[in-house]
Amino acid sequence: MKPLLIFMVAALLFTSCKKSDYKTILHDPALYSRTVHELNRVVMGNNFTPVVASRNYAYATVAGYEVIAAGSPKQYRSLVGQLNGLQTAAKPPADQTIDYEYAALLAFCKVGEAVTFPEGSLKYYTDSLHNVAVQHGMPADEVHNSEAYAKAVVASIMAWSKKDNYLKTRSAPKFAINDVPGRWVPTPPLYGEAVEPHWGEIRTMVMHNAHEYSVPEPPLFNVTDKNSKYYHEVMYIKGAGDSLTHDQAHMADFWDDNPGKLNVAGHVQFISKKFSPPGHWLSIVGIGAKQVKADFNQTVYAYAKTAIALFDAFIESWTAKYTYNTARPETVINKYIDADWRPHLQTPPFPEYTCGHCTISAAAAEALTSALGDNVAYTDTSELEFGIKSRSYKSFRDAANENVWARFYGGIHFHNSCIVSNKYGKVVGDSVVVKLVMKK
Amino acid sequence: MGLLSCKQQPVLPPLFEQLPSAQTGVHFINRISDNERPGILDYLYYYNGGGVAVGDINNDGLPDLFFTANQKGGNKLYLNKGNYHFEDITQKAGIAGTTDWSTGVTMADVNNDGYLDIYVCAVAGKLNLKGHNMLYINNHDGTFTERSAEYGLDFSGYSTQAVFFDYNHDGKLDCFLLNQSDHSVAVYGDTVMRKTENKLAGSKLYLNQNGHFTDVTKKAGIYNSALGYGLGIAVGDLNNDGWEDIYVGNDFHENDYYYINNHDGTFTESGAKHFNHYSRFSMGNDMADFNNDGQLDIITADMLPAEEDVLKSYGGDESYDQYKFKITRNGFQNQYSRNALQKNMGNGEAFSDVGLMDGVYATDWSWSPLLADFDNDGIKDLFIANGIKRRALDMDYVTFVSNDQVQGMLNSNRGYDSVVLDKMPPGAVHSYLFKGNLNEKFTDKSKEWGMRDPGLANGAVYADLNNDGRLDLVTNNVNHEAGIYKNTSAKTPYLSLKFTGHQDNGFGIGVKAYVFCGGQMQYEQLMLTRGFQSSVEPRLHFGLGKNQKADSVLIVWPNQTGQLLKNVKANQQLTIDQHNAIGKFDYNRFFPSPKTVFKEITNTIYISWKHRENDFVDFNQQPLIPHMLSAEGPRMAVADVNHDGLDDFYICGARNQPGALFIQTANGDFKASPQPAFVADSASEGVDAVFLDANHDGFPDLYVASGGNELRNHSPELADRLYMNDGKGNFKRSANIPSIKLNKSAVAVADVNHDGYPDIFVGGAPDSFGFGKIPESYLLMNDGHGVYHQVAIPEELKHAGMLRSAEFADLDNDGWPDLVVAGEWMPVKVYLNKKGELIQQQQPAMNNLSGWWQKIALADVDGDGKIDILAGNYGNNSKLRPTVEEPLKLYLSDLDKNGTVDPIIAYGINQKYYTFLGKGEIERQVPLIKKKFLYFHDFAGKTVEQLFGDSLNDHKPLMAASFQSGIFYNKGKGHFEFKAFPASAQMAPLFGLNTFVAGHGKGVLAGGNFSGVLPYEGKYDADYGDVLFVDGNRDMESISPVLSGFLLRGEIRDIKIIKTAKGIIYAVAINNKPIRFFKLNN
Repeated sequence: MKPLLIFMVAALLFTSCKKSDYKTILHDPALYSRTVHELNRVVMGNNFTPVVASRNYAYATVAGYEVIAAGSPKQYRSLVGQLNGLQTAAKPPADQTIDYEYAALLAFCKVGEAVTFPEGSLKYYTDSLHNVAVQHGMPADEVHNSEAYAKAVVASIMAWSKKDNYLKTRSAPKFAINDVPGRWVPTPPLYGEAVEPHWGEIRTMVMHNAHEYSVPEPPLFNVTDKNSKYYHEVMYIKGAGDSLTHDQAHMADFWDDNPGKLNVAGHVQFISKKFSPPGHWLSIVGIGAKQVKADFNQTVYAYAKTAIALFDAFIESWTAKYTYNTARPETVINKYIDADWRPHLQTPPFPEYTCGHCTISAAAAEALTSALGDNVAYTDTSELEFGIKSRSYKSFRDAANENVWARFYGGIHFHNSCIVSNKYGKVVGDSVVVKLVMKK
Repeated sequence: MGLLSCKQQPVLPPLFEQLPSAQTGVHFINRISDNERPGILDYLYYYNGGGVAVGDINNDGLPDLFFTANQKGGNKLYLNKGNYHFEDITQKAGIAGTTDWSTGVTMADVNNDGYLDIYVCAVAGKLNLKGHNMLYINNHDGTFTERSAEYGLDFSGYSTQAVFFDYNHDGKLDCFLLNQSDHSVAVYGDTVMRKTENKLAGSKLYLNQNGHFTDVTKKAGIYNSALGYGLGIAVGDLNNDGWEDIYVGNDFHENDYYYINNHDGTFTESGAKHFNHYSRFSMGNDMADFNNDGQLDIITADMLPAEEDVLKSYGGDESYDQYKFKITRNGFQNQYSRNALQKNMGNGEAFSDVGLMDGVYATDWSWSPLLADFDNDGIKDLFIANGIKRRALDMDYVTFVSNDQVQGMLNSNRGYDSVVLDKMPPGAVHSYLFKGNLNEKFTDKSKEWGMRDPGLANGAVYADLNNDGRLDLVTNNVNHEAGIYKNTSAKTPYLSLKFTGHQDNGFGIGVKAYVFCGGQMQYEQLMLTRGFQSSVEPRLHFGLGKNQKADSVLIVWPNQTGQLLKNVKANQQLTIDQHNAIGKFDYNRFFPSPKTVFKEITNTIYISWKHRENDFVDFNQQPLIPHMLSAEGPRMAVADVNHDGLDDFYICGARNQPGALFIQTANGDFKASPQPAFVADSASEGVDAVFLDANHDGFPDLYVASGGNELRNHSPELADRLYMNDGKGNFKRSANIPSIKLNKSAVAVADVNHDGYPDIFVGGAPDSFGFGKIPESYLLMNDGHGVYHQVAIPEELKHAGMLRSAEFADLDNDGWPDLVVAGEWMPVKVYLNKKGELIQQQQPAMNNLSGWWQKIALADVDGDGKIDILAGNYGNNSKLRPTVEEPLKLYLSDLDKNGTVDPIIAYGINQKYYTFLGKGEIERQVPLIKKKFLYFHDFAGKTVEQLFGDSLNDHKPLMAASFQSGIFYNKGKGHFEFKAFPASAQMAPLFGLNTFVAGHGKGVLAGGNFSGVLPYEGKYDADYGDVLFVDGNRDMESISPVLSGFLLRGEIRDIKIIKTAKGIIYAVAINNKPIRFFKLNN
C-alpha cells in the first residue's frame, strides 16, 4: 500500500493550500496508473485466480474508458455496440460540468470492487479521491455531477457484466479426475482442483465466441515411443530444467506471476503472492504509458484495450485447456521418468495445453502496441516489489516473445504449447486491434 | 484473598486439583522460543514438546518423575519424597542430557538389575542438531551412567520414543524404536517408498541378545522408510494370541501401521485387513480395553478443533477428488483428521472407529491420550493432553499472512522473521477429561474434573503419586511449569497390581491381568510406553466401583503361564510373583467362543458376478449435495422365475453394467442366465427391482427402477423397465409402462385395488442437477391386461419426500396392502389402504423421527401377528448427530440468485445453527460468501442467520431429527412404537435389513456403511454386519460380528432371503463387490 500512502500524504500536504489545483492532481495519467496498481494489489490480496482477475480488470477498465470516451467524443469512440452484449452506456447530461478524469477514476474503482470483491475493498481509496477533489478546489456541483455520472456508467457496465455467465458457471460441474494416462491431475504441493473448467462459457468481448480461433491438437500422449513428438517435448523440458542458466531462471521467475504459491514446511503452510499474469501486464501498460508520455485519456484507453485483449485471450486459452485436459510436465516426468523431478516454478492448478500466460501475453502485446506504439523500449520494474530484478525489452512484442521461453524454463509448459499459445494469442490480440474502433 | 463475594455459587472442587510448584517442588518447564533456529519453519515438529516418565527409580515405593526438555541440558529428574513433594536430583543424577534436542522418554529395567533405567530419545542429524539416544543405567544410588553405546542403543537420528518389551518371548526385553520423518510433505509419493530404508527416519526393532541390542528391523518385517512419520506407539496383544503386536501412529498421509506378531521373531504389517481408516495426523495413542470386553482397543489423537470458531478457521477443505488423488490413489489407506477410537470387535480381526458416536473425536491439537480409571468406578476414563504453541493450519494464516513479510522472510538469508510467526495464532487449549460410561459413551468432564485452563501440554502420564489408590496426572508443558494434578475423588475401592517376573524381565512387562468384579471383567496389559513420548509406572490399576473385593483375578504371564487369585480384597497394592504361576494358559479354553449363529457359504456358490460401481463423483456435479446418491446399489429381487420350485434372483447393475439374473440349480447352486434385454439396457443404473406377474400368466415378470443421480432429467436411460418373462427363461422389455425419465430410488408391488393384478409404486429421488426439490413419486395401476397407467395420488404421497425405500404389506390386517415409504429429510411414512385408496396415517411419534432413512423392511419381528417396520437410518457414528431438540436443518435457497439451489446443512449447538461445511467448500459454489467474508475468522463461529441473513427466508428448511436405526413395532390400529437398535448397530448407515429365526431365537440381520461423502465428513465404515436377537420384551441383544459368523466388509446394500434346495440362505449384496452368501449354522 505504499503508493497510496504517498498519495494520501501528498493530499494532506496540499490540504491547507486550498488552491484550485485539483486538475493537476486528478488529471495526472500517473494517478490512473497508480489506481490500477491499487486494484491490482487488492486482487492479489484477495486471492483471485488469474482468469477471474482478468474479468475484474476488463470491466473496470472499460468503465473508465467509457467515461473518457463520453468526455472526449472527438478523440475516442464508445465501446457500446462494439463489445458483445454492451448495448448501452449512460450518457453524461448535456448541461452539466463533469470532471471526466475524476469520474473515470471513480468508475474504474467502483466497477473494480463490485465485480467480485469483498464489499467496500476500495472504499478507502475512492473516499480519498473524493477528499482530494473537494479539498483541492473542485466546485461542489462538479464533484456531485462527476460522481453521479460515474455512478451511472458503473450501473451500465455492471448490468452488462451480469449477463456474461460468470454467476451461472459458479454452479457448473467441477473437473472430474480420472486415471486416463496423459490427462491432467492435480499437482503438488497444493493439489488444487482444476481452476475454472467452464471459463470457456464466459461471454467473450470481441471474439464471436470462445471457439472462434481453435488451436490445433497437442501432440498425442506417448511416453513409450521415444521418437514420438510427445516424448521429445517431455525430454526437452526435463533437460532444460536440469540445466537452467542463471538468466533462464531469472526469466522464469520474472514471468512467474503466481498469485498464490503455496509454501509447505510440515504443518506450516502459507501462500506467497505476486501479481497474476494479467496484473503484470496492466503494470506494463502503466510503464509503457509513462514511457511514451501518454496523456490521461490515452492511458485509460491503453488499459482498456489491453484488458479486453487479456479477457478474450484467457477465454480462448481456457477453452483449449478444457478441451484437451493435458497433464503437466511434472506429472508426466514424475510418473514415467523421474519421480524426484521438480519444475523451477510451482505448477498452477489447471491443464497444460495451451499456455495461458503465453496466450494472454501475446494478445496484450498486440493491443498495447496498437495503443502506445511499436518498438517502445522499456524496463519492466513490475517485479521489484516481489524481490525480482527488472528486465528490459525492445518492445511489448519482445516481452511477449520472451514469455514463451519463460514458461518453458519454468518447467510448467511444454515448448510446443508455448509456441502455439503465442501464435493464437497474437490472433486474439489482433482481432481486438482490428475490430475495435476506439481512438479516432 | 478474602474478596470472594458471598453471592457466589459454591463451586464443587474439581476431581483433579493442580498443585502449585511451590508445594511440589517441580519447577520443570520445557522452554521453546519462536526466535531460535531450528524453528517451526525448518523443523516441522518444533512445537511437539517433551515427555514424562514415571517410575520408582530408588525402589522406595514412591514413583519418581523424569521430564524431557527439547533444548539441550534441560531434562529433569525428581525424586518423590512423599505427599506430593519432589526433590530435583538432576545434577546429582547426572541426567540433564547432552543431546541438542530431546523428545520421548521411557523407563525400563534394561539391564535387569531390579532398578528402572531411563531411555531418552533425541533428534539429531539435521539442522546442526547433534547427539544420540541416551540410555541412563541406574547405579542404585540416585546416580545414572549413560551407557547407550555399550548396549547398542545409541541410535542417532530422528527418534520419537522407544518401547521395551519381549517380542520374541525369550524372556528378555527387546526394544522398538519409533522414529519420525522429515520427508517433504509437499509432494505425495506412493506407498512403494515404504520399502526404501532411511537411516535417520526409519523406525527400528532391536533384539536383546545377552544385553546387547541388535538391529533386526529388516529381518523382522518392520518398515524403516522416510514415510514413517511416527509420533505414536503402542504395544499389546491385540489379537489375543498371546504375543505382543505393535501399533504405530503416523502423522500426515502415511497411514498407521498394525504389526501382527508372527510368533517367530517377525511381524506382518496388516492394517489394511483389519482397520478401515485411521486418524490422518496421528499423534500419540493408547491401547487399553475401554469397554471391558477383554479386547484391547486403541485411541489415536489428532487435531480436529471442537469449538466452532476454531474449527471453521482450520485448514482441511479437501475435495473428494483431491483427497482420493492424494491419499487412496497413492495406495494409502483412508484417514481423517479426528481422534479415532478403534474398538476391537474381537481378537483384532476387525476394528471400528467409534470416536464420533462415543464423543471423543474432536479435542483440538492433541498429544497424549490416556485411558485409565480416574474415578475408580470400574470403567476407564480418557485424558487427552492438548495444545500447540501456534496454529500452523489457521486458514487466514495460510492464505493471508502478510505478503511483504513472507517476501522478506523468503528473500532473507538471516532466517525466519519472528514477525511472520507472530501472525500465526496461538493454540493454547485446555486438556480434556472424559468420563467413561457403561454404554461405551464418554462424557466430557474437562471442566468439572479440573482441566479448565488453556495450556500447552504434550507428554503426560497417570500415576498414583501418593499411593492412596487414586491415579494422579502429570503433564509436560511448553513454556509453563509441568502440571501435577492431584486426584481428589472420593475414596473408592481399587486394586493396584505389581509384578515380580522371571529373572530377565523382573517387572513383568507384558503380563496381563483380568479382574472379575461386580459382574464385569476388566482387562489390562502391562506396557509402560503410553500416550505421547511418555511412560507410566510398572503397575496396573483397577477401580472396583462399589465392590470391596474382586471375585477373581486372572494373571497371564508373557510365557503364557498363569495364576488365578480368588476373592482378592480391595484397596491394596498386591505384588504377584511369576514363580507361583502354573500351566499353560489357553485363551480359547478360558474364553471359549460360542458357536457362531451363521456360516458363510459363498465359496460353495459359483457366482463370478461382481457389482461394478461406475466412477462418478456427485460432488463434481453438485458440490453442496449432502452426500452422493449415485452409489446406492445393488439391490436384489427374488422369485422362482422358471417354476421349478426353487428361488432365483435378480441383482441390479450399476451404470454401464447390466443387471444379472441367476437361476437356482437343483443342488442349490446358481447359474447366470444371459438376458440380451438386460445387456441392451446396461446404460441405465438399476436402483431397485421387484418381480411381479404383470400379465397374470403365472410367471414372474421383472420391474427395474432406474436412477443414479448422474443424468439429466428426460435422458432415455432414466426410464424404468418392465421385462416380461416368457416362461422359458427369456425376459423381453415391454412398453406397457409409462416412460418416466427421472431419478427413482425404490419400487414396491402389491395389488392395491384388489383387481387381481399387481400394481406398482415407484419412489422418486432428487434431480441430478437440482438437489433440494422434493421429487415426485408414482403409482402405476395395472389395467387388467398387463398395461400400466400412472394414476393420480394424494399430494402427501406424490411428494412424500426424497425417498430411498418403499414396501407394501398389510399393516392393519384388513386384507388390503398398505404402503410404507422412507427417505432422507423425512420420517418413515405409513399409507393405509382404504379399499384401494392410500391414505396417510398421521403419527406424531413417528413424524418426530425425521431422519436420513435408507431402507425399510416389513416383517413381524416380535411374532404378535402384526407386521412391524425395520428401519435403517444413518446411525449415530457421524459428525452429524441430530436430536429431536436440535434437528439437522437443510436450507434450500439460491443464495447468489444464479438460478441454482445452494443446499446448506446446518447443525445446532445450544440452539444456535452453524453450517456443517466450511467457508472453502461453500464459497466454491457461492462466491457471494467470499464477497461478504474475506477472512476465515469473519466466517468462523457465525450462525447461519448471521452468515446468510435474509437469503435463507425463501424456503423452510428440511429437517432430520434422528439418525437412529431401529424397529417401529406395530401396536395395532395403525400405531407404531419405535425401539432403537443397540449401539453396535448404530455405527454406520444401514442399507440392508432382514429377519431370521435360529432355533428358538428370532432376530434381525443388518448391514451398511457408506463412502459417498466428503472427506471432511469421513467415510462410514464401522459396521461389520449386525446380528441382533430380539427377546419377548422386544429388547435386542447384539453379537459381535467376529463371533456371529456374519462378518461383512464393505458397503452392504441389500440382504435377501433365498429358499434353496438345501434350506434358507441369506444373500448379501455389496457395493462394488461380489455377492456373499450365508446360512444358519445349525
